[in-house]
Amino acid sequence: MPVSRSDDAGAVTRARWVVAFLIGLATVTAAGFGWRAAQIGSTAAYDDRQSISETVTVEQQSVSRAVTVASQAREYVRYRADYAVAATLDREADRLAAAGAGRFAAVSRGEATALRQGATRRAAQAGVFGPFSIDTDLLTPTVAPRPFDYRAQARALAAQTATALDSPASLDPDHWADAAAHIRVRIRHLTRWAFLAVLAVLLYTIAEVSLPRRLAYAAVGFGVVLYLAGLVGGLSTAFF
Amino acid sequence: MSEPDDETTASDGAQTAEHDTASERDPLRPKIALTLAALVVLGSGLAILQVDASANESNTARQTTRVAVQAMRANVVSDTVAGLVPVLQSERDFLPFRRPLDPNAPSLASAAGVPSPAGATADELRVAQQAVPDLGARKLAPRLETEAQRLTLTQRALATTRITWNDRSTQYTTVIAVLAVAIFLVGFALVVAGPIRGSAYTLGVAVGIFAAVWAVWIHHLPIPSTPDSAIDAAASGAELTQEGDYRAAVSLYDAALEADSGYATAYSGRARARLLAANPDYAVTRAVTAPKGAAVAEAIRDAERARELNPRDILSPAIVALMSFYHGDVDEALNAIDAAIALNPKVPDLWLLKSAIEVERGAPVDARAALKQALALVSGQTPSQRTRLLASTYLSYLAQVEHDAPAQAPTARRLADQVVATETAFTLGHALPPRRPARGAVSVQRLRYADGRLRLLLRWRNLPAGTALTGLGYERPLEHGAWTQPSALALFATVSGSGRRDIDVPLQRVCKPTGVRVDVYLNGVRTLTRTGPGVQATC
Repeated sequence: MPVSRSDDAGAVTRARWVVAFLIGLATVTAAGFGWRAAQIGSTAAYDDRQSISETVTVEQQSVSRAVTVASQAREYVRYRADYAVAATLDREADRLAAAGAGRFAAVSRGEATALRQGATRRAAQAGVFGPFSIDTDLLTPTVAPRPFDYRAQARALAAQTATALDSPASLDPDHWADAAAHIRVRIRHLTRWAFLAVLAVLLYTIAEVSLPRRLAYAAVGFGVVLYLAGLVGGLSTAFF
Repeated sequence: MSEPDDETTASDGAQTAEHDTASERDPLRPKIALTLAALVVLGSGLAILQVDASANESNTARQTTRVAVQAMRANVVSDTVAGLVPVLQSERDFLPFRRPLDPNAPSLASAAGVPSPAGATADELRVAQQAVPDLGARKLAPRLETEAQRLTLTQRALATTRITWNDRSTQYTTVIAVLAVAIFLVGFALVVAGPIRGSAYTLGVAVGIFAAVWAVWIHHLPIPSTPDSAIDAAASGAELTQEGDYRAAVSLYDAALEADSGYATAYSGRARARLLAANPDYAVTRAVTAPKGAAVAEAIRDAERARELNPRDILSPAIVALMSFYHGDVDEALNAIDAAIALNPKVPDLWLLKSAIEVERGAPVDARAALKQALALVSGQTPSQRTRLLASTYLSYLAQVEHDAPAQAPTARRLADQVVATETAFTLGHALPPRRPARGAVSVQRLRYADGRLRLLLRWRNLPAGTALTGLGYERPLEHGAWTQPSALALFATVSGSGRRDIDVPLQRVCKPTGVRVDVYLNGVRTLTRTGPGVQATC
């Protein structure tokens, strides 16, 4: 079918309008991806702050536990030293009793008992054996010293902190850090998908200024493919 | 509107239309449009790099802060446990003072007339001491210290990486700003016509190329990062240095440098470990027994390399200054100590070394000025092991000057006397009378080092009330070498009338003293100096 010159000019004008529209669309898409990247970037910054804040809380609790356990360990060693002296007094009492010095033996034994009583009370009040109440078995001295495991004490203190009424909700600073890092990966992806859209703009521009129609169509075609790849990739992997 | 005006307007409109058509037909125009699009693409690429740098900076900043908090926790916990060790030991040490373990206290058995077998109390004491546990604190303390070191070093490494990412992000932003200028010029060329179009276009392309080249150059610059293996090895090396296992520490620093050949902390740590390995008593007595030799040369090389890699590292120039002072290179020592002081002028140790260097150079005025600075820095403090160590270190420096530069010995002695008088007043907590007491005498007898112990008898008689008595012990680790003043060998007391002190202290040394010396001061005035024999040189 013969095509008149004015029809040809009209087709070129329409094609130019289409390309201009495509350029605008790609530019708006790239800008949209940039906007989204900035938006989730502020979420990442929030996650960073949460991660740091929870790290501070976790480490504060850790220091507090360490200081408490160290103080208990100090008290426990005093308790054991008192028990060691009490055991020596008992042996002295045995020797005195065996030698027929019963009254002296009673003094030594009484001293040993009082020492154990005092040591147990002091250690219990310091929380070495766990929670202290006014009347408890913890205040009754045992013949052999009670054991003390600093790891178990630390675990018990951690449990106490975690279950206290004023305890912070479950702390997981690593989770927040991972979330922030993940968002930044999305931001990187978004910028790369946006770059594809901008590349499409370059191809559309080539089409806009090209005289050979074949080159113009090829540039538009390739640009559309790049743009769609960027759009679909960005929306499906990083935008939402 | 009049006709002529209408004609003029029509004519202008025709000219503008012609101009626009000519402009649109300009063959340069499509190139300009393409260039503009290419610059926009380049800008997008730069934006990607900037976003990456910014994201890395944010991630590293978060990690740096978190690790800093963890390092603080680790240091507090480590110090708490380390502080527990002597407390637990003190409970064992207190047992011999409790009944019935105190051999000097009245015993119920003897009151009852029951005989005790010989050595029974000692046996009981041993059993009791074994019953007092250390709860694993002694083992735990070094592990916690290493962990604290590791986290501190990790935090420093992360901070360096973070700063670099921050710089990188800012650099890319600057390049983008420059590129914006290029885009403006090329865009301007698109809408104007005539000769200005070509000029604007050329200038825009030139600025765009400049921005692209700049971006490539920035991109190729490395981002510093320290591998975990290097940090772990350096942390263990620091811990072993603290424990006195210097050779093992050097091996660990070697491993750290194998993992990262540009790790400044490992170089300065190895320099210190090498120095201490060559001078094994330095940490305790401040004795430099190997001022020269391959090990010291290697230590200085390491310190200089650390200084190149991290110009803000204060330890490295201090090491160079110290070793240069001890092997007599006072100019190098002065340069290095001035560099260290420039980094942190609030460290009295540096001023004291500078003062000693100035004495050796024959510059007493500068020496006094440096000493004044050091004293100003410790004023307001209370007497402590730290202040004693500062004084003993300075006295050891001055003794070295007396040995190396006899011509400067009078100045060195004057400064030593000044420091002893100041330290005596500082330690005893009151000002000293300006002169030695008008009456009384002091003597040192039976001074010797034998069987690993320093023994002497210090006697005084007829001294006025409130006399400040200072005794400072020196030892000579090398035959005919310089004296050194260990911080532990010091006595400060307020005495009156007559009295005596039998001194018998163990000295555990690798380089055993070949001679010992005691300087006695009354009211801060040097009154007596006695020397005694030591043992055969072991270094």
